[in-house]
Amino acid sequence: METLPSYAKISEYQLRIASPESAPRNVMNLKVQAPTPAVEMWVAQIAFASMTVENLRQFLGWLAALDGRLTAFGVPVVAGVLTALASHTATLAADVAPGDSVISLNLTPGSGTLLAGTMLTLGASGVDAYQVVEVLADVAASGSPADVEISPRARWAFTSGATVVVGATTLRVRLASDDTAGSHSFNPATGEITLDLVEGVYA
Amino acid sequence: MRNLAWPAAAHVTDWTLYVEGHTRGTAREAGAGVWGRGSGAHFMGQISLAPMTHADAFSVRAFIHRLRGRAGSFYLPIPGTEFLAEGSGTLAAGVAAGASTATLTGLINSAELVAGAYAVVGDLTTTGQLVQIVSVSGSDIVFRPRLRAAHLTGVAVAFGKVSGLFRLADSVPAVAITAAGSPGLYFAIEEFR
Repeated sequence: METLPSYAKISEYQLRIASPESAPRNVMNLKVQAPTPAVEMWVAQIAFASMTVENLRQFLGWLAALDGRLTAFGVPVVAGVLTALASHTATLAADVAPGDSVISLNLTPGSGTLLAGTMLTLGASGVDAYQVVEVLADVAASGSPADVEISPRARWAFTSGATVVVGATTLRVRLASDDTAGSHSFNPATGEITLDLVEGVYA
Repeated sequence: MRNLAWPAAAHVTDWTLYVEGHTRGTAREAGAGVWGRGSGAHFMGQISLAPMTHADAFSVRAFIHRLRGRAGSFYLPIPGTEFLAEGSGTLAAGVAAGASTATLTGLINSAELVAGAYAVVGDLTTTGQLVQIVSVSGSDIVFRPRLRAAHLTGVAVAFGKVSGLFRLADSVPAVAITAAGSPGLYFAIEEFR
């Protein structure tokens, strides 16, 4: 997976999960926009710290090389900043089907509570079936399989026994628009760039 | 998910609650509503949350995402009422949909039954609703918005320290996070009904 250049330091994340009910509605008729095909997916806006002019040129070139929404790339999900510090290892205790909002995990016994807001990673980054999900409610690691409520819902099938990465990971994203101007804004006063992103559903 | 408890990590700093649809009819917003004094009136609002640590921001972010958009609902302790006593009573007589008055009996902590106080008539998970008291005369109250459903004699009425049942009124809000924590967030809410 393409990664952010090392000189591009993220200063702020605006991360949310879009859902089919998210579209603004007309208050008079409850009309909503059609849900996205992925139903629930990460949507992000990230701001980068000020860059030197040289790095800024390089970064704009890197952005252009993404070919709009064609190329997915990774945004680091840093432990302690975007996810809780991980004290668990986990494997799937049961098969996961597309659409599942609860998965069964074998968590490391005695490692404490799996906290709401922790990120879990299902699958491997080089293939389509890769997904970062968020734990929605605290779960105690009791030694027996634990049901964990997640969002976004599983988009792919994952097999029982597969390793689940808990905590720091990489969120696969794309630019939100093919039009580069629609995907980033630049503040010349501060030298800061902001990117609008959507989850990279496919590799 | 519905009926979630308000997260302890979410501290409301600024808020506003107001009633929308005073003139809207009982057909709700379906487009075919009867225009007049309506019982489709409901609370809308905006709330701002204070800056948070990373741990609190994770908790609040998970809470917001657990709602799964506008389908979910949550109990919001009405800001400003958290230090009041929990008052209660029951309806002395049944009230019809569209009613804006009621007589209460069996009052506890009746000092909280004052004009401007919030009250909950009935069970919020079914046909109950949040109202604001306009005036009080003995055990008779006048309130707005008007009731959207009829309630029988003996139905519980809470006032003073109360919570309303709300949903997101708009898109799922993003929880901004920096290396220092979260600067807080703002989002619009509407009564779940």
